[in-house]
Amino acid sequence: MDGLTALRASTVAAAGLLLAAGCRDHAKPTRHVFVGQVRVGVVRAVRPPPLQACLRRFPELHVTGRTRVVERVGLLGASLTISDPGSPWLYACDFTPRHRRLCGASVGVWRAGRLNDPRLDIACRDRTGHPLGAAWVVPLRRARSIAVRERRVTEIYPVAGRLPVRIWTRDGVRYERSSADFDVTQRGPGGTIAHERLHAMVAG
Amino acid sequence: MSLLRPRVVFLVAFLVALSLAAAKAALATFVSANCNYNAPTWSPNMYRDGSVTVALVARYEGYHWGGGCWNDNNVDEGPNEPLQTSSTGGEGGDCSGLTFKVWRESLNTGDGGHYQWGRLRNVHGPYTAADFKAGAGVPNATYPKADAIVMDAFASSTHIGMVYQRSTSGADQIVEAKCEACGTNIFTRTYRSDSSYGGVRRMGWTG
Repeated sequence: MDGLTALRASTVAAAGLLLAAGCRDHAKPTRHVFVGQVRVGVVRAVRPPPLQACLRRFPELHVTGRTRVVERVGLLGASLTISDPGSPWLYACDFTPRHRRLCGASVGVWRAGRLNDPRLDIACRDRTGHPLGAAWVVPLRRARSIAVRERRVTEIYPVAGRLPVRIWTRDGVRYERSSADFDVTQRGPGGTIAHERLHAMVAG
Repeated sequence: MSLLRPRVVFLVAFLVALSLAAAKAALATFVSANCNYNAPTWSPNMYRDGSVTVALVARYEGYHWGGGCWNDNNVDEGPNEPLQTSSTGGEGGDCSGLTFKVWRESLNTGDGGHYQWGRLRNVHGPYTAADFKAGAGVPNATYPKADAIVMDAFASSTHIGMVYQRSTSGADQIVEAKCEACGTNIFTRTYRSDSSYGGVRRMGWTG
């Protein structure tokens, strides 16, 4: 992604060590742990197609030298979270993980470390046509990663860019009710900091 | 003494049951007490006048973040909810929930058909205001604001309202679920000339 200055990246892995860590926190062991990729940067003149698509979706987004972008590529989906420190708006563009086709977008109010709403988006679907849910979770101060537990896999989202983390679920989507539940664990250097069931609704 | 004891036990049990029932009633929200998840009714036709009627039923019925359920008594039965909180289960739709229902859309974003949702059907739909603004979903399309007529909409990334009456003065009468304090009503708005708003049309009107 040429337009982003990569400051941090993690590798995609199904690591036995992480699997063991995942098993310790829950009664039922999950089969796989997937660590998503994340990159943090500023919007530059050269913009890769996903970023261009996102900026087209939000024409009111005025890109400045301070506009920060967090790009995530995970198992269920990919996303861009865009923040301009001079504005309270936080933008998300959600993409299919393989072809990076823009399939959903959200806008939230991000002010003084608080987000008005998880800003759930249920417009994306996986290869089988099953709806996916994407939402933001605000990491706690000491959190280094967010783990989202699904039936067969736990996906790890590294915290990056001091911004809310865009997470995904497939199992938690309740499409008929325009809502989704995320099984979220915030992890710090010493292990689990907090565990919650995040209930998010399409709203606004 | 032995005759008195069962009576005391019964009285205590009765009082406990009564207090539990009262607590349950106190915890009930408008949504949990009144709303349903019934299937919508498909309709071959959809008229703008009919959708105006649907919108007017929601008028005065309040605003609820992420909501889509209301009755028709012109009273907001979930007033003064915390801002942008969906869990309180209050009455009314939010801006995009109201639009979804008034535009008789399908939960399936690939379905452009007309679906009549009961007013007490708790449904918000898959679209946010930002989705509507982008013309997301088969039934929706971006549209020139200058050509917007009754039941077309103006949407920004955070809000959407439908044209109730077009005005030549530059300010339209807009039916919208605006906010917790302002509820769902008809307001005079200048969205047509506001650059943060785009025009959106629900496609497939019969007339």
